[in-house]
Amino acid sequence: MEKDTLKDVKNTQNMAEPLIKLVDLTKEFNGQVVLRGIDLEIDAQEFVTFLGPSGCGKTTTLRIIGGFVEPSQGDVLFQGKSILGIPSHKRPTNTVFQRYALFPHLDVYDNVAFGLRVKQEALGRFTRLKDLKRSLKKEALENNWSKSILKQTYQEKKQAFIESIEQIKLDMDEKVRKYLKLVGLEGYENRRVHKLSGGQQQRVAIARALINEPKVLLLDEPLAALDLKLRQEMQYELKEIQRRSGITFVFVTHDQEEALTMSDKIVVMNHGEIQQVGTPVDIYNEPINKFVATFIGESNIIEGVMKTDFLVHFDHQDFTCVDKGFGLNEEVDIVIRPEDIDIVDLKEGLVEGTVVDIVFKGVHYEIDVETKDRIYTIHTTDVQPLNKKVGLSFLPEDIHVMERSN
Amino acid sequence: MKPFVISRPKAKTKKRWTFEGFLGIPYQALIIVLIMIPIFLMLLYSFQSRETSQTFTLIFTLDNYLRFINEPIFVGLMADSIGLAFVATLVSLVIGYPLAYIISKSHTKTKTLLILLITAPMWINMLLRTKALEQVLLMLAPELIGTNLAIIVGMTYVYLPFMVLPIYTVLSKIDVSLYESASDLGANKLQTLIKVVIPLSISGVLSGIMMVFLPSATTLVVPKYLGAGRFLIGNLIENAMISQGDFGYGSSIALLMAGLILVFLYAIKKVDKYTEGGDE
Repeated sequence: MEKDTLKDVKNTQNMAEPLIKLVDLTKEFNGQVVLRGIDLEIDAQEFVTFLGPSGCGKTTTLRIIGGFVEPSQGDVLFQGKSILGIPSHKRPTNTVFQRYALFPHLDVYDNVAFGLRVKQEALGRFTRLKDLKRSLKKEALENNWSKSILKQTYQEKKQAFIESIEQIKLDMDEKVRKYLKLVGLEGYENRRVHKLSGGQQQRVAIARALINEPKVLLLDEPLAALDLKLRQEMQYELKEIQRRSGITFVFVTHDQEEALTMSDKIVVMNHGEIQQVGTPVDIYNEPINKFVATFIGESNIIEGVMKTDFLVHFDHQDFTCVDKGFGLNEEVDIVIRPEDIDIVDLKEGLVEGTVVDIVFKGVHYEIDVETKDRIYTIHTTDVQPLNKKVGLSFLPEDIHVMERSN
Repeated sequence: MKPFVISRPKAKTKKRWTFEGFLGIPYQALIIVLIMIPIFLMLLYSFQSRETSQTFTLIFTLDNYLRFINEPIFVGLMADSIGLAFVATLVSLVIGYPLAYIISKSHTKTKTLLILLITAPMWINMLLRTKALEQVLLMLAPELIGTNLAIIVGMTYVYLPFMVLPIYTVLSKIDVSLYESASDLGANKLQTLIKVVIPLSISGVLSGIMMVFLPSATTLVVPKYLGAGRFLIGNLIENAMISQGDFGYGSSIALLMAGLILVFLYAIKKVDKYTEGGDE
């Protein structure tokens, strides 16, 4: 019981302070506004995806978090503190770049070890030896050591220091091999990166970023260059890596299927603005406007009027629905997903129509049915003969009512 | 039907003239007329004594080479030439690399201006430029004329653009995302330079070294004016060939020098591992 409350307290603390907070982020390039006031919270261990068409500002947002682009206005908070003044090489983020940006002069092993080596250098082997000498001399003066004792202690400490360096090297080697194994590239250590396939290069890029154990991993359309099969495999692998490592992933993509498959939270963007933030299920089932509905999945979008709560009017008919909270007779957009519509006998349907087009899509048929007001697109596994008169039926919860967007 | 099938492999083995093959013809002709034949003639001259070189009787002799090698002063001149060219190349590299880096990192407009300024001296005749530099030195520090320092300054001044341009070309081709990924992985500017930029620009550095070293080692004009008429290997060859008309002797010196340079180029190729592996 006590444990639970403790956990709750921890959770509420986490809730109170997101890992990353974007505050009113705005960016202009040569007078062109690419981001307009982005506000967003990203929690620890979350898989967040920025989804939108090209030019919507998703990559710019990612690059601002990574420290490669300065925002014109607004702030990026990491655990409550602004990181805008911190250069990219000191930020707690690592990036998997769109075209990987692997170092062509290094082999796979050296590419992956790059971050560790750089950090090792920052510790400064040479200066540390010098410091050691200086501190020992000071100690010798204070304790009146003779020269031979000083020399001996220095030799001992130097030996210990060199051994610790060797140990660090061994640890590093072990770590590089561990991460190569994680991405399935054992045995490729000495390959030149330009001799690798796209999928392998991508794995090197992921290992190279992950080995630094960042708090946040930024991924800029990392799967875009891969073929469909490999892309789907990598989607599951990435999700798995994220779950196991507990690192927050911020992923940028224009592929809605990718976003739906991998994300805990999807941020749909368009024209530099956030359209909707939510879980994949929310985004798919309850799109907030016409843009989100058309961008994610296929939809039948219908203009209508919300008569009262739970009653919507379109195509000269009233339909019961599950939406409420709109104004009386407010003009709305209605989404009905193609897979939610059933083709039934003429008399059993809510609407009548004629089959005008049938396309085989592999898993399902895409059937267009023309009613007297519009053409509905329907996904079904049962084929219908062309020109057949049919009825269409859908449930109240399949009618998604959204505010009319301009 | 059958003859057709048989004739097909025959047609394949026949050498086909491609468009590129046609384009190459003038160059192949040029190579033969302007490079291969002269080198062959030089070889021929260098192995003949002076008397016989006037007629068509060919007498093989090593006299020309022995004459040069047995003259310690001349061998010393060759060592001087290579030594001075080496130092000038080093100085050009130390000045040229940072300059090329700065240019590659500057804005497009500044870039164009800087490239223009660097190549501007080359619009003026080299003899005039060297003469002008001599005048400047005579005004500012006349005691320098004739010293190694003056010659090195002259070589560096004349050949610096040839160091900057190839390095700049290679640097500007480095993908910007590589700088970003180095920074992303925790490297500061200096670490990025040492671990990424310099290794990736080695091929430019090496061609810069060749472009400066080769002409420096055989320059005529620089030692003549800035060296106060001092003899380096280029002047020695000029003297033998033009003043004395001793083609055999001049050829032998030139070929010895060429041999040394060839060794040097081979050594450079060994260092240039990255480009050997292929860029893409």
